[in-house]
Amino acid sequence: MKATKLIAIILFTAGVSISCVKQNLPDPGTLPTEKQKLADSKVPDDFNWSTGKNVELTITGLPTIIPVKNTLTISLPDGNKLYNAYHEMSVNLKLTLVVPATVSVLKLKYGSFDETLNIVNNKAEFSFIPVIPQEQE
Amino acid sequence: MKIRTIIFTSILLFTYASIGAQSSNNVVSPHLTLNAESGNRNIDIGNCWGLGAQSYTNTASLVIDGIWSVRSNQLTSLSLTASWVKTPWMKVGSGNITFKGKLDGAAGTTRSIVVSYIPYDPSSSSSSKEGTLTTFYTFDFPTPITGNTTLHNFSIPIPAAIENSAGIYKILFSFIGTGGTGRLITDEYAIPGEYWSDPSNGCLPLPLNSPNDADGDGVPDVDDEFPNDPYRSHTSYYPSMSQYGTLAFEDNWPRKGDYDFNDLVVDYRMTTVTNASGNVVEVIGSFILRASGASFNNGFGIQFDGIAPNKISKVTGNNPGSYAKALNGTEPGQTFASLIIFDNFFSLMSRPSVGIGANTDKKAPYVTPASQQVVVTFIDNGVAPPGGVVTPAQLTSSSFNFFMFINRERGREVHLPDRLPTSLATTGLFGTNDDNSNPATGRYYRTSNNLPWAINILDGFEYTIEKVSIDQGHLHFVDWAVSAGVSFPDWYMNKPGYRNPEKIY
Repeated sequence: MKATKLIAIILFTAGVSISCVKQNLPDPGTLPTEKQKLADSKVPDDFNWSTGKNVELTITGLPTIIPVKNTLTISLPDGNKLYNAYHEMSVNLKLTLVVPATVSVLKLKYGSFDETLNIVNNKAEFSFIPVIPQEQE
Repeated sequence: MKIRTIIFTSILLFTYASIGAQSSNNVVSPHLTLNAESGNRNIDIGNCWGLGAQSYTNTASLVIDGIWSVRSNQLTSLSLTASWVKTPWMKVGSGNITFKGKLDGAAGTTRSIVVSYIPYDPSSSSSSKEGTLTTFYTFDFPTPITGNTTLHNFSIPIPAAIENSAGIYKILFSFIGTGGTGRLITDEYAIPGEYWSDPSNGCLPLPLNSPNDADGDGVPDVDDEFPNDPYRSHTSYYPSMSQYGTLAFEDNWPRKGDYDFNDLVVDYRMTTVTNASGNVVEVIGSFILRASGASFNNGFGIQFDGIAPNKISKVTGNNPGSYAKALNGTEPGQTFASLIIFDNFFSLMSRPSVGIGANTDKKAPYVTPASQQVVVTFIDNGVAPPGGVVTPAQLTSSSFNFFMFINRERGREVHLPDRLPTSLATTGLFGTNDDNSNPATGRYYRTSNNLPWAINILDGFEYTIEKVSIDQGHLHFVDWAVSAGVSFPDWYMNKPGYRNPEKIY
């Protein structure tokens, strides 16, 4: 009985010792991996294979008292012109522009208007109708 | 009554807008009006009206005429610029300024209306360029103020000092008072004179004299990129004014190729010229033929998606070879306007004796890229085509649908993924070999793994050498593709770790 207990203790200890030995296996995170090849790649269905993206630009016109026309310019952030046309301020305009995918804002100029338009979900918006909060009373 | 006023005013304004400044012998002189009927004071503020501490109300017990009236804040100040309505800049005419006003019946000690004029002062340091105001009319509401809701019809002669003056003025209506919470409701402002503000220019006055317009197209020379051409005024660009994009093709469709994407490499920039009416006059396609690592004689074309062929007047500068073209230079038999830019790369670029193509083998002699400029005319010297005019909203940068056709087989087109083939494409090739197109769902030019036969790089592109897959030269190309463009959107740039220069031509 005593011998049986002793053997059990020895086996348990040995087992614990063995399980605590550090395994010198390579870290999965540092395993050298073969870079995926294009020919073997699976690409999402809707990827357009362009470094550009379509941005839908919506400009809301201001119903003006008299016809007001000026040059409307839409540019990339570096000032590179995309769209440039003589535009009537009262007219609503919807345009699809193709811009580099890395671009997150567009610049708008129209007379004294000099605006930065954020691109959110491939859409950019601007309204010539000002948003003037009501004064506190 | 109010509807009639609106129509009358509209007629006046339309008349003014149509024929410009009115002479003094007109039967009806123009008036500047404010009636709040837009229900949105921001529209009137956008038109250069000043509304200081004023809101628009449609509360029935307060409204004077129509559905909306102007309501002041609680009048507890004697300052002329605490609560006010101010006209845009105008050329004041003759006659009486009229408007309606009443108190809301709430408590108050005194309530008054003060009317002043403000001259335009270009030397003023303020952004509004307003000069010193001159008060010419004051009205004190009879007491007691509390409970007083009597409507007053105001009619105030324009001061002789500004009547029909050559100067430019604003009229300021100030609402002042002491004690209590009472407000003033006003409506139906009508001021004889002409609107002279520019909402697009910080509401500063319009110029007194018409700006120079040498070609008479209605676009002032200062805004006109073509000041001496009545048919052109502005230009837009794709991908941008100072940038060329690059299209790179594989020419083994419908079979997979070697993915070196150099079987046809063309740089492009599209310049869209519009006129004073904002219609498209012409599109100038500037192309640089950079490389063709191909034994095939590949051609190149463009379809204007959504644009009917009869919207085009003529095409010049392209090389369609022996392919048919309609009288207007487009391809016959097309649903959307399409044209061949060149039918054979090697008719414009020589093929060196070394290697299989041009400018893809570093050991072969470099062939100077050929340039080609194609002009697609929509409105020809002011004459619209039979199909009518095209607007920039109809012909956007996303309308330009470039394609290669392989080895002069016209129907064997290769477009960017999911771009619509032309009517001349051989539809029987879709879904064959490695092509996984499904026209019924709008899926085109993709393998089953969604690999393409063409790519579009807006910022320009350095392609790989012959038979070397693009991902061996551009080390993050696959990261970009499998992430649908999220990772390494700048994979084509020459940044540390981005390229293997030995693999780049």
